Amino acid sequence: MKAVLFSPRPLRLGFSSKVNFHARASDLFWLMFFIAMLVFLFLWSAATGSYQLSVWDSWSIVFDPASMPDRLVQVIWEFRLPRMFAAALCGAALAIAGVVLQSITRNALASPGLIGVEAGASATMLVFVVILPSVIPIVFLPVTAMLGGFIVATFIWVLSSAAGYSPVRLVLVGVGITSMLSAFTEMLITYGDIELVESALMWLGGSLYQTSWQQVYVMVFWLVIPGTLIWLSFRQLNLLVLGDKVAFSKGVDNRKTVPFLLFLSVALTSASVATAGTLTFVGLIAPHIARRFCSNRHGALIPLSALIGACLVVLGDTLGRSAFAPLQLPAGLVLVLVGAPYFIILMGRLKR
Amino acid sequence: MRAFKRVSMLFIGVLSIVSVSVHSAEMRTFENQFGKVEVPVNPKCVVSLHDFSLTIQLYELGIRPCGSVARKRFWSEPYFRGVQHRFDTTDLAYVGSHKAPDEEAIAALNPDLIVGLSYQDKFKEKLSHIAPVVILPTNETSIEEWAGQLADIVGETARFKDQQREYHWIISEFKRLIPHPENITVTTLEVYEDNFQLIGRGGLDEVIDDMGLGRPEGYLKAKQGINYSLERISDMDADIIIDTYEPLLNSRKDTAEFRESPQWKNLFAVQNNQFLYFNRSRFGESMDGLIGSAYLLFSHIVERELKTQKPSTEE
Repeated sequence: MKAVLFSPRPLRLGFSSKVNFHARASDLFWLMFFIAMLVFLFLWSAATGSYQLSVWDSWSIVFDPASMPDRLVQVIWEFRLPRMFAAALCGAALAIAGVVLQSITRNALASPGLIGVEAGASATMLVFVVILPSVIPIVFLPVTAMLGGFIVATFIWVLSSAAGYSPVRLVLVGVGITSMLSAFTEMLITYGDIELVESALMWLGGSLYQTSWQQVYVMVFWLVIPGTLIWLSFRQLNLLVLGDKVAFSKGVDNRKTVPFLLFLSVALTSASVATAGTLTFVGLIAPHIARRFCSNRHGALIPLSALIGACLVVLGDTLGRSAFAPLQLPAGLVLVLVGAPYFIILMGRLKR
Repeated sequence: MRAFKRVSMLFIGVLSIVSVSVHSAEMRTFENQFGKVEVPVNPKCVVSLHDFSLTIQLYELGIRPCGSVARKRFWSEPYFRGVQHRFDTTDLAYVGSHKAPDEEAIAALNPDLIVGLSYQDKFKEKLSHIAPVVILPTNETSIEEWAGQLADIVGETARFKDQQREYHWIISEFKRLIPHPENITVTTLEVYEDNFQLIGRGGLDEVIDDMGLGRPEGYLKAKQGINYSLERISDMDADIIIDTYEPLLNSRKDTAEFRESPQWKNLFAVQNNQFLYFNRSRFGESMDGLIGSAYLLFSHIVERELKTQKPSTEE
């Protein structure tokens, strides 16, 4: 292990003739570091909450639930663990989506919110909560929000690529449609029935409250398949960052690759927004933090961003449910409050 | 000595059987619009998911809930609306907000019953891991209906019947003295800094309906729970206008300027000194809320001179 970590030569991981990943020792080190960080955050989060449990008891319940009282097992297994896993999965999904969008638009400000998924999902959710309540059962609202996000993202893609794909056009159309939908959402919040609006606000704030194991299983599916496909496209992403012409000269056709990657990032974002509401700030900051450790090498950048995104949302959710307990603060709000200053300091320290 | 041991063992055995049978008999099935739930016959620790209706109604029935949601601002004590000025709440634990009650804080109380409102049905599945959850049809039925169900669950039907008797007496007395209540129009609203809503808290709207009082045309056409521009206030003009203020939110002061405007002063109810300004948290959405609101309206309509836009026939 020591030889791998400190060897100046990249470690070659061959999956097939098309996918060859050269892992640097530093990349492996940071991956291991953030895996350890995530494990630490999980252990801390499992021992934190309104129900007073010692760290030892919490871990015993996690690793050996059969030997512990039912009430304590319920607190950990029904209330804490689904939130923690959902937080990590949503954070990872949004971070990966952020990497893809920042790379294909070659825009550092791009985030999963840019392609309208967040705004589309929020607007759809509010329409069915405020204007047409009871039309759709509550359990199907996240799926409806997800569909809304997909439709808006497709609309943005069609508008921005009708006269040929251009990253700048995608960004501008995305910003325009997102602003329009945000105005619509604001209007519904301001003039909608206060009781109904209040129900939607918690979700809009990015809350993992009420997350169930079922949502965790669904989220695993939505993270693993698109996430793996995106990671397997790391070579194309490395080339797309250099420009369309360079990518094309190396055999990457952006007319095929970009819509495919965009579709995968929309899938990741929609699934996260449907599970946890609007947390998309993590999709902006996690890739930037990860780039500090592995630059734009997407083979490492994608998993590293995913780990950082997972850590950030687990941290945000744990602080949100414990800082002012029993008052529950949405993870999205905590993430912005804690993450934004750190992000500003981090960016201020960048040499270029 | 051996005989004593045998008798003791027999006594303990009988006691165990009795206690087990009593324990199993302590559960019963409660059924309403939200389904069947196995509930304890005499719940010892009830958690309420709404302060302004369920918590207050529980106190009125003589039940001291062990936990309740409340309104809370950062770095301030939780505020149990409509409750803490009437009852001692020192032993009432705060369990989060009504939109996101903290499951762990509820579990820590070890409750044997959790009660919630219609829109809290979505919490039922998770909270059922802690204790039986009964959702009351607060959106679908009247206060009287769901308060009756709550009294049934906690075994305080006799106290509820007394509340019901008093309320029905006020309504019947009102109808006896005002034979044509539909000729008297009432608007219930809440004026904020730059808009207003049509809302009557503390059971006011239900009392107005039960008394058979009329509503102005503009009120009947408008929707409740929506913010209207203050310019539309004249559409809601009625014989009586009822607004409420919240002492905690300083709403009296915040809206004082509007009450000085010609738009407000031109209203029939204002010109004839028939504008009523009640404390919003004085009564909750409960049986005592209905009774209190009914007495207030009774007093202002029956026991004083009242001017109406339409001719009113009084006994």
